[in-house]
Amino acid sequence: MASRFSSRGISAVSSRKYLIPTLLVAGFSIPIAAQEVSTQGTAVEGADGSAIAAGVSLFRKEMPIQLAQHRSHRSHSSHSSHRSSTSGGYYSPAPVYTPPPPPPPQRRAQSLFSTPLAVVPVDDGFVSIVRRVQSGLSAFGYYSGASDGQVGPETRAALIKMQTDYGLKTTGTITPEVLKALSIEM
Amino acid sequence: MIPLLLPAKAEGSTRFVTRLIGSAFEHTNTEDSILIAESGGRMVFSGQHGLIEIISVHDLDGDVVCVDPIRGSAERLIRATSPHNTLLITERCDQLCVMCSQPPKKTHSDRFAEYSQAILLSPNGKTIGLSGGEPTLYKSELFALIEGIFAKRPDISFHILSNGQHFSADDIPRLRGPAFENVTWGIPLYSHEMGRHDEIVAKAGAYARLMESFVHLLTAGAKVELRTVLLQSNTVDLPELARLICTHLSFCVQWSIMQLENIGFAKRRFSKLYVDHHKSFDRIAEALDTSELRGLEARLFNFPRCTVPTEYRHYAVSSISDWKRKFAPACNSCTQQAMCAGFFEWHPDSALEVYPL
Repeated sequence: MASRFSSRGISAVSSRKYLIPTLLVAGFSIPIAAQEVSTQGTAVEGADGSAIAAGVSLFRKEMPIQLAQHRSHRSHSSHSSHRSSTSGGYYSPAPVYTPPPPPPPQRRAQSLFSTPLAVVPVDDGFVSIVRRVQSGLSAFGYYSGASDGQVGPETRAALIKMQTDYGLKTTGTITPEVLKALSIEM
Repeated sequence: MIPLLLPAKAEGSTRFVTRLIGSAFEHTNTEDSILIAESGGRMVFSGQHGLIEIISVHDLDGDVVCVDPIRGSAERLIRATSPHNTLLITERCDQLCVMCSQPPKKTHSDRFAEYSQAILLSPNGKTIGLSGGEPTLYKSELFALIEGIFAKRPDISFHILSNGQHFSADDIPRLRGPAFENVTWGIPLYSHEMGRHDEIVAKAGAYARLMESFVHLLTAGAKVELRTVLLQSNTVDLPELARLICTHLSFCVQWSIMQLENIGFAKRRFSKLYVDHHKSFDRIAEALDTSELRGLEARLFNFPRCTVPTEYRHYAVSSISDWKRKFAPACNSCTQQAMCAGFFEWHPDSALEVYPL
């Protein structure tokens, strides 16, 4: 969806009627054209799905640690040890993770929220999402209580610990960052 | 009726203000909560305050809500798509008007901090209504709110309902400040007769104190809208009141003649207070004529258009807030419904006579 922003940027430039000739004269036509090409490149990659995938991979790059890759490895028993590890490599650009080809440079400036959290129907709203967060926290050794769908003191403590370890904003609540980090993308 | 208080579930136990965002592409700041899941009237948002589930059939995108996890509620403080957003500063009042739609209470809960947060998150260029009770009972907090918002959001305007009993000469320098250029004061004046006005507001000396306030407001260059609720006791005064306003209060930007709202104190006294303007419009017409001739902007609030004589219909504006407005069944065939005030939700069904245009 970065393409949406960059194409918006272009139209904003072209709507300034004086600027266009001036920029062209000043030799700015080439970067603009290049931007357009890269925008089209993203669109050619595929429909919405791949655009989201590209966004997610961008997000992975930006995150100090990627929990999602552990998703299928529930047997990782040593996760609790990561908590105390500030020098274990998790805060340098994730050594174990090979990122996909870097996205176009203009995307880097975008925030976490430029990747949409897909909105889908849920049967059990709040409670079911809290349960999934609790399961996620348990899987990574932060939470040992029941997945009861209630955000009690234990869940809050687990969230704070997890947020601290992974350099997220420490709120003790289920923020979009937490959902992303736990790969709960609804 | 559009509900302003919605059932909600949230984390923790502390009340908080947040803006609800339906799409992650919208501009976000740290106070935003983003829609992450939705199914038939149930929405789940996530933000710095955690998960919030809200039950609503209405679109909440861009709304600013105050979420109370203990009460299990989300109060829509600012509705993004509505032109009618009013925040209740206090329920205390030092007048006791016979037809008060919102009878005062002795208790006060200070919500200035929450309101300030909410207003800062509201859409560009909004006009926010501040009401009560009597907001100027908390004048220093109120002024600080207006100045605080202006410093960060000069695009926001305020319309403040006040009984005008508390302005003093000391306020003038402050009221002259740039923040107050965005403020219109809606102040009631019920009669040109001191005794009648005091009787209606149930406070001796109210009229004299009001006139003193008008001097301060005029000196400060304040924008004032005068408001007169139509009652059986003051209908006869309207032509003289129009003359008084045109002569002595001509700095006022508007005079709003308002039809009665059948709620609060008026509910029990409706038959003693209500004037059927469709049957007797003479005094109103005379007052409007005077205003017109003397260059005073007059408006009829809460008058369904079809109940006003054709030649005065253009004074009748769509004044009733969207969330408490209703129409009679026969209004469906009317071509002027979009411009019409309609009726208050609580208007008696027996008085819903309409003449579709």
